[in-house]
Amino acid sequence: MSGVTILVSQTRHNLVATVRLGAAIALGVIMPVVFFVGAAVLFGAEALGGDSPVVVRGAGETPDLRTFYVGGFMAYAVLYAAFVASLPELVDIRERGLLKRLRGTPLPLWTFVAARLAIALAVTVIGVTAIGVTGRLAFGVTTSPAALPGVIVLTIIGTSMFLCLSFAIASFARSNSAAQGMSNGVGIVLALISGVFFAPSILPDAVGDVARYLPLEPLANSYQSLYVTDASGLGLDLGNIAVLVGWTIVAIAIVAVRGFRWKPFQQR
Amino acid sequence: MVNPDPSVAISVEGLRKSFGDREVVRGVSFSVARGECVGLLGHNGAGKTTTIEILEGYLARDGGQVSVLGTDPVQADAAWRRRIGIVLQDMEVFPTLTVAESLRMFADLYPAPRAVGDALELVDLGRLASTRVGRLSGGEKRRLDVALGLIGNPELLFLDEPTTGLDPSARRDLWELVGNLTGSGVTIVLTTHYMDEAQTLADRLVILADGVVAAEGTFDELVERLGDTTTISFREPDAVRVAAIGQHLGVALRVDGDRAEFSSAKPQTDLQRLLRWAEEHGVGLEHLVVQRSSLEDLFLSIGPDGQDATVGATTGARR
Repeated sequence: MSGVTILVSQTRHNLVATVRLGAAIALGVIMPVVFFVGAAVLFGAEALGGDSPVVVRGAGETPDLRTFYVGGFMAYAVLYAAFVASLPELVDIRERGLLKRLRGTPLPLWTFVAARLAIALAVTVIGVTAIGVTGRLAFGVTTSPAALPGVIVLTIIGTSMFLCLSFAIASFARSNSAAQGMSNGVGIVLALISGVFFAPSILPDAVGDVARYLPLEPLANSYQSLYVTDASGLGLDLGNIAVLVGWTIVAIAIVAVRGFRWKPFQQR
Repeated sequence: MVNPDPSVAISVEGLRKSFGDREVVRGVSFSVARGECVGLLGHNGAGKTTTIEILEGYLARDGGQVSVLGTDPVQADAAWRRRIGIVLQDMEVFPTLTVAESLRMFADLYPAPRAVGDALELVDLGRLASTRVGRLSGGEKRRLDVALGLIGNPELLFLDEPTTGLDPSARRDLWELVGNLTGSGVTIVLTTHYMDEAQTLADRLVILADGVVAAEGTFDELVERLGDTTTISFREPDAVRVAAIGQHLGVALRVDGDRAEFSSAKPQTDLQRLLRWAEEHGVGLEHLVVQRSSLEDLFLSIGPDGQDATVGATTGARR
């Protein structure tokens, strides 16, 4: 079997298992859409000032809060699919001994990582698309077609970063329960301070200053920038991309130094 | 170390492994010939799992030489892993995949796998091919583990407690399967806590105690070293009669509840004398049992620290 054939098989079987499990779709697609619709309906109404422009750091103004939410919840969908759902699943298959068993087969390491990335990307693409389509159909939020390549590139970079962080933190999580606690805790805090539920302007300056160097805010800011009226092309802020790539490198370095754990934690 | 002898599947010399300050494998040596089924036995903590995991390439050793199919497992690559099959003690594949999907996922990793249908039939799971793994019973999951170990058509199969959770009928079926595999030339390393299983399946036994080989050989060789004795036991609640029988036979009878027993090196003679005495005294010997020393007796004679061995245990290597 060639590596590519193994990759296709691993991706197919892992994807079927993940979809049937349901957590990734619930966390990475359904929840972001529900939260987006809820936030846009509750807080995006004209009577509550939802039609006021919102300033997107480094890019300009979105015409209203609903448009701001589209970019924010795209980033939220990537976070929850590639990290909050991925981390416990990774730890779960390790603790049930499946990773150890696979390590005893001819499975090339790169095909395992690539299959996990392909699965995460499949879910994040669905989630980001669902947010974009819902925004357009339900709330009339649009952007230039020229911004589409930027959305695609951001989704790939963001998914890769959060998946690498999943691999890094999995080496510390001793059980599925611990992994769920870690991923949900990190996910909620990041979502609250990174311009997903609230415009950064209502947060204390110090929080915003820290958040822009954490993994989610630069991703949310980049998606939101693509929905600023005059966005075109990739429209990517290099500072944001540098932060995202930086976190990816940190995650890979953690895995390299600590070593990826294939065996269950209770085993030596 | 690369073993030049093609008839040897596994060669272990002076194997050592420590975890922290504790040395759990202390100079283990043994070999496994191709096509042979070797049972690796020992009390909990004897070093079995550590030894097996070093052979499987999961653990790096601290000392000694190991060759598995001519390769040092530390340097194992995909080509080597294609030649081995592993049945772990604790493992569960994705519960949301079906039995057939799970086998297909593993089959796709090998260049010349068994057909999924054949693997299912080997472990009698054909009727559950479309059932999700999460809905299988413990015994059915165990059979799936065995099928996953066989799916790549391995030359060497590691079986770690393969029949745990199986009912007696399924155990017998798996024994037959293992017998057929060794018959077709597959080399098998078996660890088990069921002595009857080891006695039935293994051509040779390696018993570990406290990180060293405490005994090694065929079942008959080991029993002979134990002192090939037979235990004769019967129900006899009357202590006076027990004492009389002991005096008549010239042996010390052991009493356990309402049963009495003694060990005999000449069971035919002693049995005849016992039956004659019973007839002369009009005593019926109920629940009379005559049993040769078993592997269990041998195993129990070797304490967890390997010090109580009555079979000429060695501390260290023996080939």
